Amino acid sequence: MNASSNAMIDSITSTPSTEGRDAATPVAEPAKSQMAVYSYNAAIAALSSLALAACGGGGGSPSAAAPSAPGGLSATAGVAQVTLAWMASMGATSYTISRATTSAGPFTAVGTATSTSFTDRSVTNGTEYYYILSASNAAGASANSAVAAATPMAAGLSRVQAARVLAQAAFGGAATDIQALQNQPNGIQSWLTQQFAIPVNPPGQLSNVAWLQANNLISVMFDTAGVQSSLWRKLISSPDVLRQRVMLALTDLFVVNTGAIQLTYRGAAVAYYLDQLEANAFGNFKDLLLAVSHTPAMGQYLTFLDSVKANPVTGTSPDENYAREIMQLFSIGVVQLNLDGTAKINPNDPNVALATYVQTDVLNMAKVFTGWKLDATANAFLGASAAADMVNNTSGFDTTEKLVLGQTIAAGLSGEQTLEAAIAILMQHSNIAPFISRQFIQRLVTSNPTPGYVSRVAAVFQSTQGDMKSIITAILTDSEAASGQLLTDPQAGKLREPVVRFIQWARTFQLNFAPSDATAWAKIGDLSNPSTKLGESPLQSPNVFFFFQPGYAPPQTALHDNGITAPEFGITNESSVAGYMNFIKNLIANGIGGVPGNYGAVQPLVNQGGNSAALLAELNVLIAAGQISGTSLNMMQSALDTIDTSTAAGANNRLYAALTLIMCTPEYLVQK
Amino acid sequence: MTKPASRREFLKMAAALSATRFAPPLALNLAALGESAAATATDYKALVCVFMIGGNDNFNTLVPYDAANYAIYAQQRPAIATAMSALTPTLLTPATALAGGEQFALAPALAPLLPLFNGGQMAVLLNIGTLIDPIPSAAAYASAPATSLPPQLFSHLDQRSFYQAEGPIGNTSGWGGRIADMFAAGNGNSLFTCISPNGESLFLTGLNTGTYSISPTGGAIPIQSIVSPLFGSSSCQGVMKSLTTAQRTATDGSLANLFESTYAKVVSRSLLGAQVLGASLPATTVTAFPATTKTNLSAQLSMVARVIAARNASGIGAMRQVFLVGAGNFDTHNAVVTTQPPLLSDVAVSMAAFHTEMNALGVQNNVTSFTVSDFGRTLNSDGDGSDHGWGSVHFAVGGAVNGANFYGMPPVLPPSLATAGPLDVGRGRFIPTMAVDQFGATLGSWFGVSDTDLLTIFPNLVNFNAGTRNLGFMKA
Repeated sequence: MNASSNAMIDSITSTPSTEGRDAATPVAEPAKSQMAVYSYNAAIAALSSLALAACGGGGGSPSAAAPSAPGGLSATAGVAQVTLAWMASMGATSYTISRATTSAGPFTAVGTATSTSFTDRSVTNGTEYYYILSASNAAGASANSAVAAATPMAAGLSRVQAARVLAQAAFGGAATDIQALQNQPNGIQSWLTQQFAIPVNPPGQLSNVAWLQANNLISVMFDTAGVQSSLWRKLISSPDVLRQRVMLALTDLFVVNTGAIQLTYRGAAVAYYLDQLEANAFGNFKDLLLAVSHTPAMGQYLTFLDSVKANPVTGTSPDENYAREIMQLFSIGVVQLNLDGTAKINPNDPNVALATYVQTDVLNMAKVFTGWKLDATANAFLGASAAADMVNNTSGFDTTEKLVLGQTIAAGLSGEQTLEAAIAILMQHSNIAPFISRQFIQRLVTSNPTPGYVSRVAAVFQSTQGDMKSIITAILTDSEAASGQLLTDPQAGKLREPVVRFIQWARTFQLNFAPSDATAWAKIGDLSNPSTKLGESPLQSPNVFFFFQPGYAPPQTALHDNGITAPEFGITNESSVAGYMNFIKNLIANGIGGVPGNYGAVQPLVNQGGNSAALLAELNVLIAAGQISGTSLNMMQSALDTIDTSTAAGANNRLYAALTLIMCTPEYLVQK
Repeated sequence: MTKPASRREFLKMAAALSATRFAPPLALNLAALGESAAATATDYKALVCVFMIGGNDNFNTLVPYDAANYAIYAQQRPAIATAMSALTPTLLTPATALAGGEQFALAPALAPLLPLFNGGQMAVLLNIGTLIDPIPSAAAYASAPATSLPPQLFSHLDQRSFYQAEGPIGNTSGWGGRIADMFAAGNGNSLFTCISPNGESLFLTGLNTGTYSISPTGGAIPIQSIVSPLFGSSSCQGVMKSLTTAQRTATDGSLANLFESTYAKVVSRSLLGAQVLGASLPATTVTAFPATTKTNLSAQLSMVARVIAARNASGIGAMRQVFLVGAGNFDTHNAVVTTQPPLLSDVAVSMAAFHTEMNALGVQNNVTSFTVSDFGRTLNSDGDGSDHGWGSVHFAVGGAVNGANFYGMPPVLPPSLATAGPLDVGRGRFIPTMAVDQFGATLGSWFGVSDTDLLTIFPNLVNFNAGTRNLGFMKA
């Protein structure tokens, strides 16, 4: 939090009323020490200094009592090392780190630290280590922290391990992608470093706005198809695959639907919106929220563009739409969360979770989103005002004081200052780290991360104040992402998003449309028809709640009965499974728009050794990261071996049948 | 599972449990009830829920028409009020006028429904919405405990969920499905009990009965690689079926992963459905359904009509069916004047065509369709639209409806911009005076559910006076 935003948030109170209704929220005048306590709980801004100040402000010496147990311990595996990080304990002067090879101990001290990180290099690769630590000061030692575990790796991943990493961090990959990851000196860590270093819009890849302009099609500025083609182009052909994978997750979170945007130049508006997401994908979550909140695409989709302050003469009020959804969907959610993502329950009723905000907060937040207009000075090309940040127009902006989530945004600030202050309040809220972290884990790795996994990533969100690179790294390098547990636990996994399955096919088999070929990319189109296509397509969500919800558990199933969420099952039904299976069969044989996949790399395996075993083994690695069982592969092989491959058509048939079987089997469809 | 000592005792317990709003063990309960109820169904009946997704703007759907209330409406909605002259052709003349003298007109786009209202096949429900307990006034609302109010009022997902489940998000059964649970065993194939051409639906999910999803245009879609040779290979076709439908166990050498087994069950149902229903669907008999696009209501209701026409086909034999159709984009914070009319037109044209088709099939007295939505909207405008509200207006259509009438009371509109009405909790968000539980119980009663069983299916119904639980808009 910088000085100016400190000044804007001039009053902070305790947690607001949680009764879930529109009653007036009692507002206590804050004392300065409450601010510190609140900020400590939120654990966002200037954590340690505020916390220590609060202790000192109490009048006693910080060392009058032993420190509390350290929180947020994370253990990250590297090659021949494990790196630990945790959150500072108030009043601690040192930390003692202990290690065991079982979760129950016995734990033996392996070192001490005075900062909040430690690297253990006395490890054996392939052994799983469990860590705890305690904080101490002159008054004594704290209780032990929660346990964190990691398994240091030998240099170099196996092909199957590398394919699994790429399923989580990318869209799978071709053999060359797997080899490139295996060649990394430090596994996923150095692969991530390399991916983070690729600039936005790498050589040969235009930004979405520039691509629309370069294609010189006036119509693409206002139709929905042009920007859709542009996004498919990036998702399928851009070499910055990690950014593209994160982009897809961001479009799942910050939903817009091009066709529902009532702007003349909606294509340009969405292109600009996508460019803003890309530019900030490896930045800070706060900047993502700020960028999204400035885009005409979101402004119009969630209808705060041209919303104006209450008019006492005509009686109109500010639009509440974005005010509600930026809290409900994009930052903090509707119920209060613990750091590990579990809900806080009303102490008076175990069936009711505590609400995060009340209608009064929505009404006040709605005042923040007034006065926003298209920038009429942006006229470099047709539709440019839709492809530029909105500007705040003082005549429409509500300059009165706003009370949001128990904090006051002072009257008289500009629209820009007010927006910045409102987003700072969201960033300080204790919900944002677990709420966002859990959803990113669900998008990339697994549908049901353990509370420990969520809290480790959320702690990184907090300690880095929302740094996306750190959050992405924490998700993809967590011991749980690479654990054998996810492979064998019958309750673990995630149904691969249909769109990810399609992009995986296109990237693995190098659907080689030229990046500049607008006609070719337009052949993919809208894939959201559930009974004939994927039931899901970027920029085609039926509403801002996306195609499926993070907490969905399909009823009357073993998943539901075991309390397991499976978001992607929200679009999995009798009609859509048939639609997918028919679509993918046709895709595999016929490609897109008459352009088939490039199967050159696997074609030689079709009848290697006189059977289909080698073909299946390779497809199992490339497509399914080795997750198809021997039993299933044997069943496939005996059926495939009945196809005569002596003709080119027969060889193709065996290849197509093998790939169709693999991409339809539940062992592939569930990523583990 | 243990069986209760007697059905009567069990129901007493369930009612007591629902009174305290702890979820009763519905699975046990309804499974036991369903068998006995199903045996008594000898005629065909169907309920068709028409979901206006996003929170339909009720004040531009059923518009105040009497001079006093129209003036308030126009004052609160300076840029988005429908002109009175445009409303005159669709002024509703109920058999019994409202005691307060309030008059209402349908939105012009709803004109296709006017003949149904006038003909006695359409009822209008005034100020209906999600409630746990009756909330008599804005003052009572302000002091109501959180447990007395539907959670997260004014939030789409939460209220959409509560509308269907009568419980908060996380509830995994809806009242359409819970009603269907009681009759599924009386159908020739329980798979074809709860059917949606609009994807998964909480409303249609019971404790034992789930949504069967069909395509609005294609009906039950066959899986090509299982119903015909895969790239010429019948061996591969057979393996495809085994791999995608098998329920694996830990002992067959592969994993018994719950995501995989759940997926395989969906594929199995898809195959069965396409095999039976796919072969049975007749075309519609009237051409009143307008040209269809991807997901609009006319396509969906046309498909529902075809499924109803196939109700007696071999392998189906349906006695009771519950359907859900839905259309989106009703969340008109903006541009309601241009956005809402085509949506309402789709509702009206499709529901009217559907009723015509039911007439053609001779089941117009056996099929009741009704509208629902996330919530109503604010009377007060945000400029060119309105925001999330609470109580709303809904319609029930069919030959078994006691039509040509209003049910319930309209809320008193705020006397001025500065003064809220007695049921107004801010900007013209009106506390409902009829609960979704009462709405559903009235439909359920017509469907053949006993009063006692309705108390189990609708957990909040017990909080409303016995004499008001049936709203009276259905014929006995």
